[in-house]
Amino acid sequence: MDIIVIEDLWKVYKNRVEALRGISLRVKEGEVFSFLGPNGAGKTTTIKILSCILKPTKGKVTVAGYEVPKDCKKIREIVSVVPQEFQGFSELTVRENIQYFAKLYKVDTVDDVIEELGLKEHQDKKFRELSGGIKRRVAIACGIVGNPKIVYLDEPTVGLDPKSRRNIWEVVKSLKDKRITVFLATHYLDEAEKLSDRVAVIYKGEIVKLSTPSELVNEFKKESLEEAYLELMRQLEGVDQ
Amino acid sequence: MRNVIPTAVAIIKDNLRSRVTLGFVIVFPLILAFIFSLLGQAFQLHIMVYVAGNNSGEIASYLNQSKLFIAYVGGNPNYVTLYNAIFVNSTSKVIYYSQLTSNYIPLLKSYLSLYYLHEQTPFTAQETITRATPVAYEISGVVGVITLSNGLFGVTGVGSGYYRDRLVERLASSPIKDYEWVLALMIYEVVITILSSIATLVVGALMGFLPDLGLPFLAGLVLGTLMFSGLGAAILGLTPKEKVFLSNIVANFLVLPLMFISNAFFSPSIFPSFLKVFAEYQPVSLLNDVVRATLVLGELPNPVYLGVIFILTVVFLGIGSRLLRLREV
Repeated sequence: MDIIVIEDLWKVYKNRVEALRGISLRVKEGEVFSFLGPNGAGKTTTIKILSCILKPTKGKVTVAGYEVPKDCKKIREIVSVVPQEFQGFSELTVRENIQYFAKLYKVDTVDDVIEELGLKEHQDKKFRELSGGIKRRVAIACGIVGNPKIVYLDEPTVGLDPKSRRNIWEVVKSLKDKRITVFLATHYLDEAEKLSDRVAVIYKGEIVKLSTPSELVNEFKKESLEEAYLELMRQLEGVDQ
Repeated sequence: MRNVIPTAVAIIKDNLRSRVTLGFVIVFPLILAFIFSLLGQAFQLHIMVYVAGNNSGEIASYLNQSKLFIAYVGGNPNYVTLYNAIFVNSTSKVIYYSQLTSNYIPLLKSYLSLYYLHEQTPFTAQETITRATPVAYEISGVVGVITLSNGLFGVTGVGSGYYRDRLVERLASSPIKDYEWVLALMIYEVVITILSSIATLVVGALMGFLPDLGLPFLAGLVLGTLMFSGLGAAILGLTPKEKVFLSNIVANFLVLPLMFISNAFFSPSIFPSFLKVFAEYQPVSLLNDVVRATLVLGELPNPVYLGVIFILTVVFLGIGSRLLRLREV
């Protein structure tokens, strides 16, 4: 079943910048879907529209059968965004931060989430005192405490050391095990290759590729997704020039 | 409405646990209160004397020769509390004064007896105890000013910090409603203004000013905070989110003139004529009048001033909450 359906989605900002130029894609329930592309390609704009923060200029978007923007009230109860470099309430403890978001979603799953994300030993520390990797885990905890059906992760491992990145990957895998749909916007191709069921490549507001990581690798006859992606970018930039 | 209190509690805890914020909320008003209440005590008031009755013009001119008294024709006994002045009724030969000017009464009597050299009836003096002391004036002015600075900087500072930390983005995708977010911020502003006011009033008490704390004062304080918070919300809402720090700069540009070109610390009469009307009737001055009426004189505030503040509060809050939205949708 498709949990996200986007058809001919356009977003034109007030300064007339066309952030999205008629993108269409479908995301299946329970899959990890990676959204790849250079800076400014439209990844964050897409997430913001899917999570009812921005209004689409044109096109049809449905999330779990609900329409954006008409049914945003319902959509907000079942989706969650973990923004890039989310800082939380810096003077609140880990538990207090997670508890606050639990209240917004009217749930009482704080202990479960703390346990699940291995945050027990950090739960009484203030958010600002945490390392980058733990902060990112808390951000995800705040994101999943409301039992969402879909989690949008915007660059969840930017700036993390390799060990912390692996930890986040484990968290993403556990979300998939729980049948939570993960929409992952990332610059890291190894991350996308390891975690994703399918990937979409967005370039200048348009979807230029939509397939599984292995299909993309095979299409460009490369060894890894990163090499295939770089080849694709080379071709696109060549066309541009 | 159910998300307002948890959000307000989170914002209050998050900020009041920070030493920087506590410094701003408590230390800044304390410094202002100390400086201006000491300045208030050091103020050499003009010894204003209002003269009414027989030969009032002549008596006023005579007193003006003293270089100590500045005498005007007219007035009534209420001027003693209204302007910390001395009032002389030259017909009934009564001098009205307050404890602030009591030291000058023997001197004034001597001057007047010289003027009335050939008359036998002496002047009698009647003291009115006033609470409108210079310290009370300065402390109540500081309360008005912290209402302004907490209201404006509270919203622009805290709000822009939460934008920078991506907390606003996270909240925007959660079930919290726009008005719940704005209301939670406003509650935080009211709490910090009350804390700052308590700190200021403690300094006032140490300097000898015991405020008349009551519901009218609290209502004025809350209304004033909401008025300036609404203005802060409008500024933050209008600031492009990628340059959200600019909202603090704009707030600074507003706070400084509103703070100093007002009746907060000095009488508007000291300002040049082109600033006088502004200094007397701009929002901070109106709020200070309300604070002084309630806190110092224990009276109900001027209903016109209160009405203007109420209208400004509704307008600023309306614009602010419209502009300070979490999301487009």
